[in-house]
Amino acid sequence: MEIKKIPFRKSMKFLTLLLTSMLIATASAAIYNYMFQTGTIGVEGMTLEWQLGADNATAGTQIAGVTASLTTLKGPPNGTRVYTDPVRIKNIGSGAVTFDLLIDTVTGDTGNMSSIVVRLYSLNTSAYIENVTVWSSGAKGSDHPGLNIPLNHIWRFEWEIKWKSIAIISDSVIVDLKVRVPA
Amino acid sequence: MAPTILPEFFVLLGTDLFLLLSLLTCLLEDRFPKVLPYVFQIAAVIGFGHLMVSREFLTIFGEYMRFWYCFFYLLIALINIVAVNVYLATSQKMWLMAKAWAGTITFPTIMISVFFVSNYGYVSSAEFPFLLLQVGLVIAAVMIGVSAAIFLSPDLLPKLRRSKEVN
Repeated sequence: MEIKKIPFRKSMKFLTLLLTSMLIATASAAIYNYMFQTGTIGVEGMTLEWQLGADNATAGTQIAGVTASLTTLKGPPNGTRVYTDPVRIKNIGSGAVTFDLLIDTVTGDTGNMSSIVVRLYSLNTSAYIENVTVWSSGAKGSDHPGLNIPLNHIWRFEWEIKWKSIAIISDSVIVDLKVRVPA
Repeated sequence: MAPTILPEFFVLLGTDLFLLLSLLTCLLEDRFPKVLPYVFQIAAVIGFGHLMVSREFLTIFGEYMRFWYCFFYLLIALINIVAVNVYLATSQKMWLMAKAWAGTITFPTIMISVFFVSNYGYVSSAEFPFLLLQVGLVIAAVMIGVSAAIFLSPDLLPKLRRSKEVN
């Protein structure tokens, strides 16, 4: 078919669709690029990586970029529940990294909860690293800055959850932890 | 292992497939309803909106949930490509066009999608139900075999038809 035989109306329609297609494709790619940077480069830049631990299924561990969410932390009333290894962090960089551990949000049935304490242990040396109070006396704990993890080391996060006697069996909380490397 | 692609990549791929369909149905407008290119454009815009929603709730939606709703969108785009192929073959009785569409659009897009989904599944250690990818790859391999045989020996198909008629 010769080009001059293509009707003007059809070529205009095609041109319009082509332009809108380019617009949609470019905008979609830009959003994806933004999400890719947020989701992966942020973590790679810090050379730290969240990893699922052995208890990830029972704790409902979900990892999205710099955030690790534990979505089904349950426990018995007036009792203590320990998750020994729901989530880990690994240094995948080229040297030791100093980072801040941020307690981002604690939501759910927090009113019936007595305390949440996280203990950090090294999987490489089995050494105890740090005690982090996530929730205590009805309030969120403070962030832990300046934690130093050696190259290629993996730390596991042991969670100890204590519930009040008024708690019921269906109570649960969601905790979001974030890592940040100071500039 | 850090993911090489995000689940939203499947939405991006699905959006581009809808845009491709829109342009192709516009070029072949004599064979399709006039409104079809615009319908595919709207579907692509929905994909764009899908990405925006996903961006806002990136940390709230889990990876598992994100994968499945993104994969579902890609699946819809692929179903549309196959549907257009079937429409050309059955409703329009344009066998040559349907074969060309299958070879140049349907089959490559399905192969590309299977490749990216399997790559994502491998990196994320995901388990797919009903051996979805394995079945997809077997079908793709059979299609390649049959296509290659027909391509190398064009009189194979008429011979098979004749032998069926004799029996």
